[in-house]
Amino acid sequence: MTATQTASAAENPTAAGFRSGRSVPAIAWRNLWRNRRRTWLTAGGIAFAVWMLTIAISMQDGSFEIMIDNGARLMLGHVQLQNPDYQDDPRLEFSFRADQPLLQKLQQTDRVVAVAPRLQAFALVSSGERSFGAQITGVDPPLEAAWSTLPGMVAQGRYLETAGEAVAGKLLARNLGVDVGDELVVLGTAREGGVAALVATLVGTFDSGQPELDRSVLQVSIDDFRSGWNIPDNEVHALIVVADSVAASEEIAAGLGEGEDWRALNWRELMPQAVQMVEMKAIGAYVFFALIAIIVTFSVVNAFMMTVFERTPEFGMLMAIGMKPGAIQIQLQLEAFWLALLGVGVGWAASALFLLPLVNLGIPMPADAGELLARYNMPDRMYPAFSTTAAWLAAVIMFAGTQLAAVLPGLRIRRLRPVDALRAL
Amino acid sequence: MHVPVKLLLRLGWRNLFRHKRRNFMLLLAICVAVAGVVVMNSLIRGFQFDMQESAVANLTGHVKVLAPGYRDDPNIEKSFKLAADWQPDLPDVDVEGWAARVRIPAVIMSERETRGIQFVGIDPSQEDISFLGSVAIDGEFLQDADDDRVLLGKELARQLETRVGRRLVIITQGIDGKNREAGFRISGTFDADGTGLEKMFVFTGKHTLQEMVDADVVTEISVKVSQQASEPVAKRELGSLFSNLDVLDWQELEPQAAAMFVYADSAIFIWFLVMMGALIFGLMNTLITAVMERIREFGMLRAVGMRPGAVVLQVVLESTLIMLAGIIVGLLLGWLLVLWLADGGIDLSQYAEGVELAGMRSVLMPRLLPQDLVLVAGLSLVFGVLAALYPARRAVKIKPLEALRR
Repeated sequence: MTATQTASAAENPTAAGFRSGRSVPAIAWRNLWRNRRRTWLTAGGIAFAVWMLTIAISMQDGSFEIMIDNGARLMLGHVQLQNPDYQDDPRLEFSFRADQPLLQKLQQTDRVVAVAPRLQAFALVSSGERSFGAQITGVDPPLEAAWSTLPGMVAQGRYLETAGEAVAGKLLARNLGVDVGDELVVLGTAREGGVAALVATLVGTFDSGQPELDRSVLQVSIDDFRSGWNIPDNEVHALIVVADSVAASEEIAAGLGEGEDWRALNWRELMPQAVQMVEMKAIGAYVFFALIAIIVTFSVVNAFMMTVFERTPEFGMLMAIGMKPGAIQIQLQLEAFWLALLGVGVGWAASALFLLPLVNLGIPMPADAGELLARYNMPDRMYPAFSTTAAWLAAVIMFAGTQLAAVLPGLRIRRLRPVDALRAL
Repeated sequence: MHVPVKLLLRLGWRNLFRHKRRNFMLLLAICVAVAGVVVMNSLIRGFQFDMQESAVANLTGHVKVLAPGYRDDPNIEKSFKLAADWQPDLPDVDVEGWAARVRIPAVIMSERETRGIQFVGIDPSQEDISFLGSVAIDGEFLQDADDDRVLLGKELARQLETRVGRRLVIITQGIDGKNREAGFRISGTFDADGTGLEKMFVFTGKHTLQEMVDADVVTEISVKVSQQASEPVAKRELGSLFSNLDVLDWQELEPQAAAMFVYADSAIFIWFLVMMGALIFGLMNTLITAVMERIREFGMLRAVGMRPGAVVLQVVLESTLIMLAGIIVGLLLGWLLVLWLADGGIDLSQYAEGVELAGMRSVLMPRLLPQDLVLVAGLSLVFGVLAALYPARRAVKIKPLEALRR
């Protein structure tokens, strides 16, 4: 520290810089290092804020993306083609024709992993004396097994393979008092008020960890559903499109748009609750951003005020030899710029160092959160995604904050009279 | 070793006024941090409270009595008899309310649609302890336990394409294991925050449902206590009244809400640490400058015999004083902000479904707990002392002779 002080006493960089014709930004940079400790502490504050905001948002984004992707891969898919009226009012008659050209077009769309048909309706499932209401879903067993994560959640028995079989949610099976191998009778309302009926053997039960699904879903083969409910060939309630990522699915949905008798729904429309939860959390994140930014800006203002105060004689001298207050202000703004650059650079580096191993290895979640995570359909390890948006946003906020911080003490310089300033301290 | 604490305190206090503007900025930063933590705290507490209230109001109550096996296999056979004049006689607990219900799965059919539901027989006069006490009703609420109409959720009515005054058919299993089918007229529809409850529950008079299943039994007693703290006592006393039944508290009945509750506790700490982390850089910066400016002063004090311990204390005291001032103003500011937010609460109704998924209510009411304020104040002071340690060490290292020669 003595070394710096002696150096600055001997020749101050601004004066030296002007004489040697050095550029103003270089002078500003050198000025920063006249008080190393203060510069590092101030930059440290900026770096901390950038680091904190980047990793906090990255973790949140990571968990949202996982939640949405898992939700999509369980049963819903990332994109669904539906009759335009079906989403608001899931009636049996709101179906559409899924003919070969349409299927082919979907399968050949870039980044589409799987396409699967769906027929679904509410109906009464009975076994012996017991009856329960359930959502009956007709699926194509081999297709479904190829993409859905539900077959992997079979708790007892196995997943559907052919017609005549059914798998039920664990709770539904328990409520019905049935075991694998028992026969189920499904009774529902067909089109035009007729009776829809089908008989299937329970071959497995699944445990998705989501009580609502486990209590209400019965999957059967789509052919059984079609004959039971007497639905014409090729008519479906939904065509499920699975993409290779959530981000890709939005483009796919937008690209598909609408057809003659169908409309493409993206995950936002299929999972409105998840969207709302994401939005709600985002508001919290913005409040967080704002508070941290204010606190750090205050400490940068403080650092600048101390700097300007200590350098009052210097500014007086510069003004005495003809430097305009505006030029000194520019000098301060440049110092603020370098300071922010230093802080943001360190903050980014720290974020990258912190996040890179986690992006690959994941963070194990505490055991007592397990049940909660299961409800939101999240795995027990969280893989954050490095959010470049957050990194940029944090940087912009910090640059703006430090520029503002340099303006405030600079106002004092305009009021300085060189003679008084030279005598100050 | 004698350390003149009183003198040091006075010195520290005056030192703060040597640089009014600088210390004012620092004070502002501390205020924002403390007030921010207080507001966030109150929101998280409000969220916790909501979640617990929703879990309890969701026909759960604080403590519930169930027949063994009902939770695994909810049907009318897993039930118990209850005397008509039964009252929860719990000597050490202030019971806010209780309800005995018959709750069984059933299938509901309109002319057009079929759905699976929970069919609940209630005594309407007991239901002010559940969400039914506060929902908006379109049409009429059930009159009494003998009412033979049904009350269902607005969303369910929409899905069934029916409305108030129309008839519905409900099928459920009787005590003999055989299915019963009966027609009901709709007395009214209820409008809950999200659609989850609206889709799940259909209510009728308790006696009507008992008649339908052919058994004078109930499947649950739900008890709400007026003091959260007396919940374990209520559980214990109910346990001894019904030794052959399951007595469970809401944490056991709603494990997800309970887990979220614990999670919110740690969120409060994380918030606090982050805010203080952002603050500590500015605090240290100011303290170090304050020390470096006074090298001569410290050198002189040392030369006339001030002990290193006293020097450390001097710096720590200055930090503590400004922190204390910031904490007091910050707490006050935070408190005022919370009061302002609490006037009407924060309306989240545009996120109703997401709110429901998170187990909250559509209006978030911030809540201030005294122990949280004490915790914020105490931990902030600890941070103030921590931030002073490095500058204090720097001050101790000042050599009297060297400093005086400047």
